Amino acid sequence: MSRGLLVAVPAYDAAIRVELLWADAPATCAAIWAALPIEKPAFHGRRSGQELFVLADPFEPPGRENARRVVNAGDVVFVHLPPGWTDHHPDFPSAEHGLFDIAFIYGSDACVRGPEGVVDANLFGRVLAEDRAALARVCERVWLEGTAPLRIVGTNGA
Amino acid sequence: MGSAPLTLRLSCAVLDVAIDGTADPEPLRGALGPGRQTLSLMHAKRDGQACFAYLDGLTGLPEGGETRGRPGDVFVFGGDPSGPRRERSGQIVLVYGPDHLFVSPFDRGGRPRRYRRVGSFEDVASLARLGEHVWRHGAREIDLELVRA
Repeated sequence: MSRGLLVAVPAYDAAIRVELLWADAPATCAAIWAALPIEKPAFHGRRSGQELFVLADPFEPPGRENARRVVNAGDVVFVHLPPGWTDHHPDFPSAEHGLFDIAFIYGSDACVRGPEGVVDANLFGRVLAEDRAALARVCERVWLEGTAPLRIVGTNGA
Repeated sequence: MGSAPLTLRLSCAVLDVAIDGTADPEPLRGALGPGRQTLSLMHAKRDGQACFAYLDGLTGLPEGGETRGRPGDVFVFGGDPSGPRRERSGQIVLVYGPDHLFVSPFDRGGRPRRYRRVGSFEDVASLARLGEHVWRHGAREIDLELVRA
């Protein structure tokens, strides 16, 4: 039984299971696990394509690990944007700790980009294959209907 | 711009936004004219601080123009007949902030793409309010029309 994540979006009655990649990204998985539960508004990406993201409260960032510039549907990645990245949005305070970005990729038209271009993203999880269609439906609804509260909790045995 | 610019009138009742800009009517011929047209304004997924609406009748425009606009700029994209379904229709694009670059779909190369600049709005603050609202709260109906000043 390995520890995984359950991502709930109550507004859309969605519960999406994520397998954590403990062998490939142990430090990132441990950092995310320690930060749980995470309850934040989910935003649709506006420069990364088919991506949904949440900004977690600050924690000790794990550093570059299992980093990818090419991402695929179902990938769950972590990006730490260092202090000073404003993301051009006053609601995203980044002056002191930076941004702690957890992103869910839901289609092939995606590439994780920050304000200054493509960034390395730590691939630390994968949405279970049978839950990817539900993820895509939620993401499209957030795009068309606006941000929605999202809650990430840990599970034992994804 | 190729012909005498006309007034481009944009309004959104939900946000109480009503702003006038200018636009070259030529690239918009057959797609936008006098008489209000109600469109669904959606947020760009790849292009940063920009919103777009599908515009029926906006086809056959050759690719060309600029890869990046300034806040307030209005662009058109004639559609890509060979692209995926979401790319085939013409679009009118409103750039509302500086964090912006037109990019082709990432699964088709993700390269900077050229859009044709057709006009602009001076009231960037209202446009930014509209753009940020669409990003946070989802697609909104807007009315657009092209009128003689």
